[in-house]
Amino acid sequence: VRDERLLLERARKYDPEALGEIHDGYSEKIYCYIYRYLGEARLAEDLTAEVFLKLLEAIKASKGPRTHLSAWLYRVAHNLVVDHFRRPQGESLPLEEELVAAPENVTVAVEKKLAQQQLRAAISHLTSDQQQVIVLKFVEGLSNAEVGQVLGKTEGAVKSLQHRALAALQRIMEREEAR
Amino acid sequence: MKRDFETILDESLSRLKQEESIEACLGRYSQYAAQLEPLLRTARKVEMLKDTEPPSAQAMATGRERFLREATRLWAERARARKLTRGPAGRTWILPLAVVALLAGLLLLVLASLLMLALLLRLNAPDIFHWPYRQWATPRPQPTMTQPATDTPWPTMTPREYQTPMAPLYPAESGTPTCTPTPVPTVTPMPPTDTPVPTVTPVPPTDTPVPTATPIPPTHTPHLMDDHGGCDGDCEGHDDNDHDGGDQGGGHGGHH
Repeated sequence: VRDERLLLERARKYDPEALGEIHDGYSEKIYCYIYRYLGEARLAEDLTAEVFLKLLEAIKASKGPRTHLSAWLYRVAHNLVVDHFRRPQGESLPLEEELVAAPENVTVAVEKKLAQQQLRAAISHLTSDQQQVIVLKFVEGLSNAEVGQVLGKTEGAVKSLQHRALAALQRIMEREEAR
Repeated sequence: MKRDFETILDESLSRLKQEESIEACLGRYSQYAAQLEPLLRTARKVEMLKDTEPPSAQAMATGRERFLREATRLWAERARARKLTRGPAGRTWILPLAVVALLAGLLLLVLASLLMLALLLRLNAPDIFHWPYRQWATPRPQPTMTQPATDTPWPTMTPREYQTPMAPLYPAESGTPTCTPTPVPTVTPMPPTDTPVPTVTPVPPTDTPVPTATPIPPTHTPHLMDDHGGCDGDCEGHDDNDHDGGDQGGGHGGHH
């Protein structure tokens, strides 16, 4: 947290080194976070770039993060993902093209991709907070405290939220399997 | 109860994160196993999303370059905005400079005024600057009141003289008196007094001859001029007797 604070202080002065450090340190995490929601590399790269531009805008407006930079970036990334799902969906990369790029066995890769798509679809039915707690905690591996920073909740509230989110996701997945 | 289950679920999820199996976790909390099992399996399924396609290095480099370029642009924009916002007010050195210039001007003005004053005083009274020194060095002689060597005798007055009329004080060039006594009809002639009041006849310092006055008998002499006209109430020594004794010198010699 202290490092993030110092880094942000330098970034507020448009120190190119600090800004480069921020991009190098967080861009891949944010990309992965977005990719896990979307499952599309190009789209995740675009949205990742957009997250960092939002950071610059916030610094320009004297807003933005003061201490918890990563939490702020995850929050912005999630908002961009939500915005993306709200927009009318354009053409996405066909599954076949992604599978061609995959070095694994095609059958295993297809099954994996389908399972991931189903899981993403199930997660997308959750509330925004439930989605975030699921992805941040079980995919990104953040602690309850870190999830609480992103969501602006206490650890106790995060525990309750993860319980409800897992229960809701389980019901959704059972319903989808029953179809 | 619910709170307890949330804590147990959280502990079980932490163990799953530490690579502990679902069965081991359920064995720890066997009384909650029925509730815990579907939740733990769902959590394990979600971990499947960890497999992600890594971002391309080129995409990350492009993103970084775009990010830093945008930062440079914003930095320049902010610097320009600050410069515009500051404007003339940003030149904070102007006010102190103006104050210093004003003070210097005032000081020069005062010095010039003092110099001018000193020059003027020196021209008008050159001694003024050396007065204290000269007074100490060469004391000035104190003026002494001395009796003049030659006493000019005070004019002696004879009874006949102060009975001279006052009319022709100034010698007429033509030799004829300008004033002719005109009897005032309103003045009642007073009876002659036994003690005549001496009047002083001014003696001119020069050797010009004193005009001779025609002696007029003291009795029943009317006033040649109404001297009282200019002394109404202002002249000291005028009392009721002045009117009575107008012929006694018009009050001029009352104090002599």
